[in-house]
Amino acid sequence: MLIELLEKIFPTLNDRSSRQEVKNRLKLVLAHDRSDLTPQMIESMRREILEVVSKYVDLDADAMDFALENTSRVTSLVANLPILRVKPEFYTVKGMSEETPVEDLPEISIDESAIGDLQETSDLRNENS
Amino acid sequence: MGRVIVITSGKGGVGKTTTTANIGMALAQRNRKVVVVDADFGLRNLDLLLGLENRVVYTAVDVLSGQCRLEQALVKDKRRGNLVLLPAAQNRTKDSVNPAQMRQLISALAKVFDYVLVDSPAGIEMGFQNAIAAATEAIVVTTPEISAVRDADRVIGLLEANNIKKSGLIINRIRPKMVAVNDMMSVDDVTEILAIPLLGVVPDDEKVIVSTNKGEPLVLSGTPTQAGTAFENIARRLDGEKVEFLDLTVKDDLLSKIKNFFTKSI
Repeated sequence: MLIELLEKIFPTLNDRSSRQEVKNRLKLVLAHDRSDLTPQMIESMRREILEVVSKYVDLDADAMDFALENTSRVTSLVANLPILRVKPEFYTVKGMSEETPVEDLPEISIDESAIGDLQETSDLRNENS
Repeated sequence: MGRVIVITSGKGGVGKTTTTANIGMALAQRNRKVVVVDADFGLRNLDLLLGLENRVVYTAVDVLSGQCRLEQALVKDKRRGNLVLLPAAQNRTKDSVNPAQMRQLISALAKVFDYVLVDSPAGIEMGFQNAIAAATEAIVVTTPEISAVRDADRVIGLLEANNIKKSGLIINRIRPKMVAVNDMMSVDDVTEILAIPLLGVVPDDEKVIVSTNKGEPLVLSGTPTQAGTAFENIARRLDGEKVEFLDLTVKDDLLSKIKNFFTKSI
């Protein structure tokens, strides 16, 4: 009741107004009228684009959005394809599953007496430059 | 050479003929030489809105078939001698004329008159093709309703495709009170969607019906009316003057909103 009253007093709050509704319906229908694309063409475009994108990534089928939009007499195809994850075969950083066994690692040793030397030579180099 | 302007809309009943009659008369009042051409063959109405129906003898078809000369078919308005009507034939169909013939007819008129206003029939078929054949400019009339706007959009596309680059939009029958309560698209909503320059806004006015009954365009009536003023302003803009758009916003005080709420909920 209170919300209804507020909506009546401030009509701009009410997004379900018939004015907003007619604008949305018009924009959608005009985007199609202006594009000269048949629904069949749009559907096959959608399918093919999804096919290509799905080769690389897994998509969230429920949140997908694929529509024609029109502003200032220019039609554009707006697709929103939320990516769930990249397909494993395209990982750029490989996972830890292929960890190299420890015994294969080359041994690393250290010469305690030589530690100072390296430090000194680098200091000298800094002074010379 | 005069300007050849087609008045068109796609959808029927949005006020093309009323607009043609009023703009024609308003331009004549500004001492321009004006001819209004009824291109609605078979369903002519422009003669009625101008109150000239009893004086129609010959029509455009008679001129084209050589049965009379062009000047014989033109009906001169008695109130404004510089306004004449070229009537359409009532007993023919839209296919009895072709675009080449229309071009011939209109170019003869454009040599003599400052303005040639062509009242297009509804639809986008032959009659529309005839009406736009000779035009270099267009006035697109629409109302703030979904079907009228959609049809106007279609027509704008066809005008562009036919190389008519200069189009102005008239939004007819706007009801400011309904816009204020978000029950009708506003002028901005419609112009944003159609994306062509706005030429004028005409409020919904009962006086229009009274003027049609009398066969006397609103711009002729002595007492100023909202719609009549709107048409006069359109004629001035067309004629190159810069005129502000009418302020049609409803004063939206809290009291009226509360009142509105109670009347609505009953």
